Amino acid sequence: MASFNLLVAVCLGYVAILFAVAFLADRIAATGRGRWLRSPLIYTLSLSIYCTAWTFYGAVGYAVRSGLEFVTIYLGPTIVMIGWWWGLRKLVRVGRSQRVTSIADLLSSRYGKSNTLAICVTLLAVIGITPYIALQLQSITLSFATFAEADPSRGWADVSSGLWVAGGLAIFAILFGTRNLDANERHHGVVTAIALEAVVKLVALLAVGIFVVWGLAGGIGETMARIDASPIGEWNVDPGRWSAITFLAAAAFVCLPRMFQVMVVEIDNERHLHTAAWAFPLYLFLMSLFVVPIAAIGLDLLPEGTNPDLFVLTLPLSQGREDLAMLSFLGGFSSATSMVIVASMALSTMLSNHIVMPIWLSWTGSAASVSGDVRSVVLLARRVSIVVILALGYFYYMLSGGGAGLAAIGLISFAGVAQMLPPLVGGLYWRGATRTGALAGLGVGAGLWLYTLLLPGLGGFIPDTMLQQGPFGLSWLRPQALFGITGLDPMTHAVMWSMALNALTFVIVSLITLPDPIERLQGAQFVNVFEHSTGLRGWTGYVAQSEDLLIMAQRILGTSDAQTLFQREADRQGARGHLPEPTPDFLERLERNLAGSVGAAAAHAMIAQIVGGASVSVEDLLAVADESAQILEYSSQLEAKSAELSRTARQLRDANDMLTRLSAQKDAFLGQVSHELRTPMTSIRAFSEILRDTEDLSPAETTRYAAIIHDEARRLTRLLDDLLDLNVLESGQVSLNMRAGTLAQVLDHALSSALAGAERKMVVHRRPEMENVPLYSDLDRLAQVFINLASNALKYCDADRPELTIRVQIQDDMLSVDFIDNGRGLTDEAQTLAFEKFYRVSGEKAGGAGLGLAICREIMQRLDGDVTYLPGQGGGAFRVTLPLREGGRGIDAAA
Amino acid sequence: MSPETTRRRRAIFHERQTYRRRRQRDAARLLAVLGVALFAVPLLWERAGTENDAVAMSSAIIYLFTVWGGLILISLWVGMTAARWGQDSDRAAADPGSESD
Repeated sequence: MASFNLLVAVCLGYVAILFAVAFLADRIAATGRGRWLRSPLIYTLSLSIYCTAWTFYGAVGYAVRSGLEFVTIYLGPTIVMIGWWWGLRKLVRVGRSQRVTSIADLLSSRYGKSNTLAICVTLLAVIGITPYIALQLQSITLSFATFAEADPSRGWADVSSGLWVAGGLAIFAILFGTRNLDANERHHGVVTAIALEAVVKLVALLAVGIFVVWGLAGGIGETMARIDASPIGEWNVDPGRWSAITFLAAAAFVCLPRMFQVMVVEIDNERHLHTAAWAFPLYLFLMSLFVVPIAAIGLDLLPEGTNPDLFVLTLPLSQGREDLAMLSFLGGFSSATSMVIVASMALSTMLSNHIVMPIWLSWTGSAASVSGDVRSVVLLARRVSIVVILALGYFYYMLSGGGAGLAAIGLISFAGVAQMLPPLVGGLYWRGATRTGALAGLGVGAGLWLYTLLLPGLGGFIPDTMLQQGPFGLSWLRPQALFGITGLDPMTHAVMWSMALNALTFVIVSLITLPDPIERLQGAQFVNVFEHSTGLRGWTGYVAQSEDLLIMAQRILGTSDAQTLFQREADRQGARGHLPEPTPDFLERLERNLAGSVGAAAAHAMIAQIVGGASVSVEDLLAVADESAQILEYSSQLEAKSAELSRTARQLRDANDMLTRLSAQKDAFLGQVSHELRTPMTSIRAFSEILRDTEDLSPAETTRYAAIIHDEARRLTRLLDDLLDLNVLESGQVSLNMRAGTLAQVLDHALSSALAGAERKMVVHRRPEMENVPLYSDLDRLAQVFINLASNALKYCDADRPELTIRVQIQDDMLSVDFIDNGRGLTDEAQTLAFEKFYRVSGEKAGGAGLGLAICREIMQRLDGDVTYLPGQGGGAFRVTLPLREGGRGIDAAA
Repeated sequence: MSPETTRRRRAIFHERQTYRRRRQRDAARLLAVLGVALFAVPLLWERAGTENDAVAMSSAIIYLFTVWGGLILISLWVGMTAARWGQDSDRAAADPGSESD
């Protein structure tokens, strides 16, 4: 009989080996050697922490109770692993590119770096995992107790052994799990140790299995026959539980903090998934291969009432194979310790990063964050968290008394962490997933999990009456029969309701809420991770200066080593000179080299400083967004300027057109003036030559010719007067003689001047009562306009009895005086041209120079008024408008 | 863009090797679906306690572990070929959906 002392010695020796392996692995990794430490084999074996003591010992007990249902625990992860292309590939890529430290960190990072979400996930994980840790402690103390029973010479207190185990695990986790600050860095020591433990537990279980099949049962055929003859010889699996637990196991495999730690955080190379995709299912396959034979043979050989959970241990013991039992014990011990170490590491990272540090930082203020003591605080927080988690597990174990209540906790724990699945999957594949949605879904799912599974499962927390009749007698709220669905197994029931309502709430709330900008950026980064990241290490910066890298590397590696390294790299890239391109490959190799000297975290930080970050961070994106906003603003300014320029150009073009037109007008005007001057000058010259050269002229002829010359000279004078007048008016140099008077006076004066001495008689219609309007204007000039209009009417009115109507109106401070005759008026063409210079209605009939109306218009515009033709009055009609003014206001400006 | 240049940008027909790799990738993706389907078969089995004879435990074990082993072997083959998938990834980008998961 194996002595208990020997067992303790073996156990301590085994632990010492684990410590040594972890220590050596850390040392080897620190020197940058040990490629095998990063091999896919180590990665696959580290995944085996999925198989805890609960599965190592418990699978057989599970098989005894429920037949092949135990295999669902392994089928879920198998499906996840062989479907790595769909899910894990993306999860790992996201985890690497975002450098996440835990599943809480991943969810928080995806949903806009929300710490609230991280705290919720952390709390859920702690609530779910603490009983699980208690279960491991229980399994270790139980297995100790089994050996103690076999060796009656020693008294054994299983509770105190639990304390020792918890303490030892805490020390291991602290020593190897919190050596470095960067949780994202590989913990080679821990990973290598748990890989070794994975081998031990597989070998142990296989050894027991082979012993049972070939040693006890006598071969495969015999074993199968004995299985069929045993109480578990028929298929007896509830379909609901089969699907629900397979799903749960698959979800938990991804969401369990310890699985996330080894699978995503500790992965060294994405390609390891290619190997793990078949190797890990193979591991699970082998782990479950002999479970049913052990269960069936154990039922057959062991006395009734033996705890089936410990068949793996008691079967070899009962057959006198202490060596095999010892190996089996080490297998169970390995399963329990590796799980507890990694789980406490993962949980401590979550606790310290998302709960302790935020509190500490807000407590000490921002001053602490710039000094160097943050590093020690984080490490201390992690270490304390590990102790707290193990203490929690231990107390939970003490409180629950190590009874059968713990056996069910494995699946309950799975169901708890599976609540993280909807936000995780939604976050990876759906950009519309929002933080509020994730929080709401998580809240609903976790609440239902507590209410329907955890509390009823623990016993004592919920009174029986409530289980039977529901809270407050509301039967449809019974924890294990929500909405009156009673036919389901409690586990299936809880999984169905919590997952369905979790996912539903998550989706609905996500649909109706709006994510903030960081959430949207992160969402895009996560969902489209394959477009944003190039490789597993995520060095995407091509902007690094090779020279800067060389300078830094020389300081750390030494001048000659660094130059050799760079030269070799340059040769490999086929580059000329000594400096290689800073490709991701090169940066990765350089980082590994530097890590050998200064540690991976420091190396990563140094390269990150020069390269500019592992990948684009949200802050970078925001900065880019700001920059683009500035560029947009700048470009809109440019646009405005360019619009202004084109406006100016258009104005210049208009001005140029106008000048060209004016120049043409001037040419035409000069031509017309020359023509007008030439006609009288010709006749004056002709008649003066006649007078000079013809001697025998009669006095009558002389008088006639002199009169013609005189008339023509007068016409010339009048023309020149008009031209001068027009010129003065147009050039704006006219000085106005402003004075007060009434309209009646001006009209009286103008009409008498115009009509006096005329050959034709014209009747003038006036309304004197309207004309008593006070004016302040240049009355002489105004009279000149009126004279012109009246004499025009007299000249051009073609009626037999010409009549002139003068109509006075006042509208909005504007005085208008209309001169309407009873002739035919002006033709359309004449209307548009009437105010042009030298325009005459009918040749030279009236003898004018054609400047009258042009002068009138110039005068009126000088006086801030106008003169226009008024069509549709039954005759020629002109309207003179003039502003009514009290004093001299505004005249100065016009002058 | 003329039809000729379109055709040059996005090859519709690949050389044999690339085509093989594409189909291997399809297989890798379908493997999980196949696994779910095969592992769901026991849902249809007769259980103990019903009128008909229940499926014997030995048959159940043989079925489950055969399926399991088969999936592992296919996954091994997929994992070994997956190492070469990266070679045509640049061309795969032109194949809609090939990198879209």
